[in-house]
Amino acid sequence: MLHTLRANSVALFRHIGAFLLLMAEAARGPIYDVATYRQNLARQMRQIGVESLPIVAVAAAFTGGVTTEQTIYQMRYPLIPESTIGAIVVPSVILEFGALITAFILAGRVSARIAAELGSMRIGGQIEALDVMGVSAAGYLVLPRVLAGLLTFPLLYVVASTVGSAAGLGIAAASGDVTTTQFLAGARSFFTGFMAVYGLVKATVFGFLITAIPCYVGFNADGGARGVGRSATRAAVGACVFVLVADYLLALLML
Amino acid sequence: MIEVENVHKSFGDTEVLTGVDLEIEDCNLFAIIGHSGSGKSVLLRHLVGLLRPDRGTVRVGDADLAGLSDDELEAVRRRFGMLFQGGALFDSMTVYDNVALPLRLLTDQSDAEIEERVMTELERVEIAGAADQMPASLSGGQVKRASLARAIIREPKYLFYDEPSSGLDPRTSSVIDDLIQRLSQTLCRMGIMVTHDMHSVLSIADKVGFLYEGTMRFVGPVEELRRCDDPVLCEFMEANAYQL
Repeated sequence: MLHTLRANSVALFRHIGAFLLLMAEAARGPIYDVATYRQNLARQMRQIGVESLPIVAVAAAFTGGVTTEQTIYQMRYPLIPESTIGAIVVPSVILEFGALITAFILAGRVSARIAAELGSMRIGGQIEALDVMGVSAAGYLVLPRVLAGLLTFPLLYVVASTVGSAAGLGIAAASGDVTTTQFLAGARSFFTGFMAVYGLVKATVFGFLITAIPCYVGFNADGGARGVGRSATRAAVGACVFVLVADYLLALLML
Repeated sequence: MIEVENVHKSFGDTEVLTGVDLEIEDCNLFAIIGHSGSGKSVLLRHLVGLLRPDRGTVRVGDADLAGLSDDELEAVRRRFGMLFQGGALFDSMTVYDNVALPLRLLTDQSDAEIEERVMTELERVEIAGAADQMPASLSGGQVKRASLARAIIREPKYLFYDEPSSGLDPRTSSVIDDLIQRLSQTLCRMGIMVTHDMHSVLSIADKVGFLYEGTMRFVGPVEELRRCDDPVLCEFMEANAYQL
């Protein structure tokens, strides 16, 4: 038992070290040709951001709606003012659900795809081919993906928070338990600029994890088609777990 | 010149290379042969710096690959070209873009200059007509040719071929052999080929190294290989005689 724990701890630290080295190599990787990098970055931003937009919006709308319904259910006491519902729903969406729901969706959609893509390249020899050409494979393949994550995730978060809050408002108004004015008054009374900053910091960190973890997993894939499948699963699960850990640490540090 | 001195490599408890010594001269086509699992591809990966030896040195020109920083290794590798066993073309790019990639990333050439170079190399390997196709729509032989065009596009000093004829029918295999020989003769590049294909070895290689149980059991010109008197090498040759 102790032996297994020690072996797992050593393996974890080895992975963390190798992950940091890969990120350093990607950051160091010279930009050989700006036009090619711009194209790569634009393609990644389209795949991560634009193509994820519909599902992120749908998930955010349902999350905002469900949060509102549950809050209304729990607040059915005569002494609690109706505006409390807006004061709970909107900050919950901005502080937590907007970023977290987006992260979970992207872990399944983006992390798995990146890991499978890079895993296939590792197994198909394309990563070695770049190395032999004298091109930093980390700089060429990892950097645009991580940059795209860092740039697009905060935008998706803004969309998710807006749609989630709007859906909450719509459901609240439709329920008849609270008016639009009461809901907005409650939301305004608790909303601070710091909440938006916190949400954006969180979104940036999540954007990094959602793209950097699968890059590492895919880069180290082995074992043929099965290995590619395994790395896609590992990347999605790993990204979710590290997002949750980061979520807690950020709450601890910033709130 | 490439010099390999006392190279050892293990993966876990498995010793793959147990003291390989080798010298390969410029303008030569050198074939590394051996049984499956004898460590040929592992040795090739040491020669291009994809693997670092546990012990021993690999010198390419003046550079000891194991002692180089990442930047220095990248600079040395820019003199390399490699034909991978499966081609290693990028699926998301056309043949043209695959071949143009090293020029786009590593040179300041204009689009017009790149186009001229790419088309020249595609014509050299006789697949200029497939320039706009995606790798998935190519035959095995076409993939090898496109990969070869990418390997030679920057006129590398050293060309490495990993099983160039694997998975090809005898006719296509012989076309690839001709291309490799032409490149070696006309461009005077050093070629290092890892292969099982004795027909290729005997028809195009200048020198041969037989890797057996982690070391070079035989190194010499092809003529000497034909007159082999080592029972292990003779057995290997006989086992592959169907290819001759």
